[in-house]
Amino acid sequence: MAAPLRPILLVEDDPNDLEMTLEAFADAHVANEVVTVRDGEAALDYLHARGPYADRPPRRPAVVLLDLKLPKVDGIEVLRDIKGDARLRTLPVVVLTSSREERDLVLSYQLGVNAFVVKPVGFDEFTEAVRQTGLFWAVINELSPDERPAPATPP
Amino acid sequence: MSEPATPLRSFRRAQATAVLLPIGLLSLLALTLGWEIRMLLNASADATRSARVVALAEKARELLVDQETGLRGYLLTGDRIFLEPLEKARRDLRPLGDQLATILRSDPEQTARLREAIRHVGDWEAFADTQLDQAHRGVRGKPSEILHDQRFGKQIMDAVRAAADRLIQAEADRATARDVSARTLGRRVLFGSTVWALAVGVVLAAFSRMHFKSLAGQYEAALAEATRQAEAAHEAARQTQALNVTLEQRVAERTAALEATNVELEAFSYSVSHDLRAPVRHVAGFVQMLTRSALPKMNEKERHYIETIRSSAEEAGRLIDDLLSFARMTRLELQWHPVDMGALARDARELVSREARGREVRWNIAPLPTVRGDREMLRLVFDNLFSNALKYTRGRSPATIDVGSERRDDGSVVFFVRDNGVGFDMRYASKLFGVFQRLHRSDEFEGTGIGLANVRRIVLRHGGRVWAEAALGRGATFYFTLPPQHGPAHPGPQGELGGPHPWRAGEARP
Repeated sequence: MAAPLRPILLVEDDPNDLEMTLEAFADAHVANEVVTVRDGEAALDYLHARGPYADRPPRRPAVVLLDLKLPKVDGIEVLRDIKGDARLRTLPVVVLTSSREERDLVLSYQLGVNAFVVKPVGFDEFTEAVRQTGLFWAVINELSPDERPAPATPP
Repeated sequence: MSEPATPLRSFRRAQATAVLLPIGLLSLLALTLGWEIRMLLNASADATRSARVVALAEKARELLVDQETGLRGYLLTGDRIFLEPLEKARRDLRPLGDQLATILRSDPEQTARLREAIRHVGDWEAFADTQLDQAHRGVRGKPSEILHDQRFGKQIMDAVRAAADRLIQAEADRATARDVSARTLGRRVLFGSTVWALAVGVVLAAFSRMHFKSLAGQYEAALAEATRQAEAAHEAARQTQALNVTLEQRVAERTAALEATNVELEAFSYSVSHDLRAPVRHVAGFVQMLTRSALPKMNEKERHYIETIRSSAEEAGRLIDDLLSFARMTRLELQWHPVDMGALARDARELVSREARGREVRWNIAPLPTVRGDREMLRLVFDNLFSNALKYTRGRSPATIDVGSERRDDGSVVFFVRDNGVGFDMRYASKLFGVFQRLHRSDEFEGTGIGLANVRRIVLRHGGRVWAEAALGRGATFYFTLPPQHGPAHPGPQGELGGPHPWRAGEARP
């Protein structure tokens, strides 16, 4: 493993969901660092490396797990910003939401979301969903060329 | 005339009277005038006759004077020169008498007078012949005799003159009388005609006035009727318009209210979806985490508590999901298309058959018609009914599920799904299609009780009806109808959501 694993950005305002998601990642042995932010504004600050995150390490996340119902700037707005930004557009975004609302699903896909996961009620199913999501997007998924690490560290 | 019902006929009658009456009255006047003119012409002819008679009589008197003068001259002088006028007068006198006789032959009195005159003339001529004869023969009477004779002759001549005078006088009288009567008659006829013409004029004027009034009355009545009808039509149109305005207003109000309700419903279900579902998930999740870390240390009772919390939380989650799907069923716009119900039933059978692996199930799906409706929703109807049928035939081997349809006289189609399962008590049939209503214990047959509620909602939204027949232990038959010529003439706006339908067969099952 030449390059260090890129972090997973988890955007979640609900502490219970946050705890459960982190538990699920731990359960699934997902090794990536999980960066958590609690609202949409913080998510955008992190992604654009500005404000409180101006000095963060320059690594881009492997995937953004995005809740939709967020304080300040909601998940749909965050998604719109990411997919409307030339530098961020290729960043994989997975909506991970409590909502079964169809309009959220449709709007998310219209905005270019990469996956849409409804959090299952059962914990086992939830763990499984989070595990698979993390595995797929953080580990398996082939990154687009500009997502790849700089060739300074050849394999 | 006063019947407004037949104004045309009465108008024609009035028209005929107005033409025929004056023609009749004026013809009568013309006949009267014609008769009068004839009378005047007759009077004129009479006057001419009288004038001629008088003229001829005067001429005759002159001729007689000539004769008398001639005779006297000859007798006194013996000169024959006097004989010539005598002879001539005598010759001329005869045709005069004939002419008079011809003219007066229709008048007995005058004829009698003429004859008397002629008789006297005859006497005088006989006397004159005797005198002449004596003179010719040279017989000369004594002067006394001559005188006597002359006096005799004068007497005869006087009689002739008297007769002629009477004749003339009578003729003159007669002419005068005729003239007077003709004038009187003329005046009377003229007066009468004037009066007649005036009367006719007055009658016609009165008649015309009556007709005019009648026609004017009819015209006014017709006008009033037309006005009344026009006003009635106008009023009706106004009322209809007012009604339309009211209806449109009401529709707009209702639509606004419904839209507001719909918006509220959406907000509600969105809130339920996010806010109610999350804590339920958390309960389930944290119980699970607790289970993992603490299970080995728990006793049997504690494990049971934990398990109950877990299953209850999951059940609550399912109920919420079912409720949301039911709400969605109510809200989503129907997408009207022709739907092959046979193909739909076969697809649904494929899907639900996975639940019945290892069981012997005999499906009998008869040919089904194509209807108009929302494919995904109708699919859900079959999914739920088939899933139910499979579930409640669990103890049967083989389970039989019959699917069929029948077209009714009114064009609607009745579909049925019949199974040989446990059935149910018809006393509770009314509860069958209620939300979360169940006729079996959940530990007998799983499910939340939303499936048939969804079926009912979908069929109702298609304008159909749903019901069931069953007996305990002898299976159940579920029926639903779809009305003829399904779907609105102008399908409403398509659902704003173009994505895949959110229902899956397992999602809304009792």
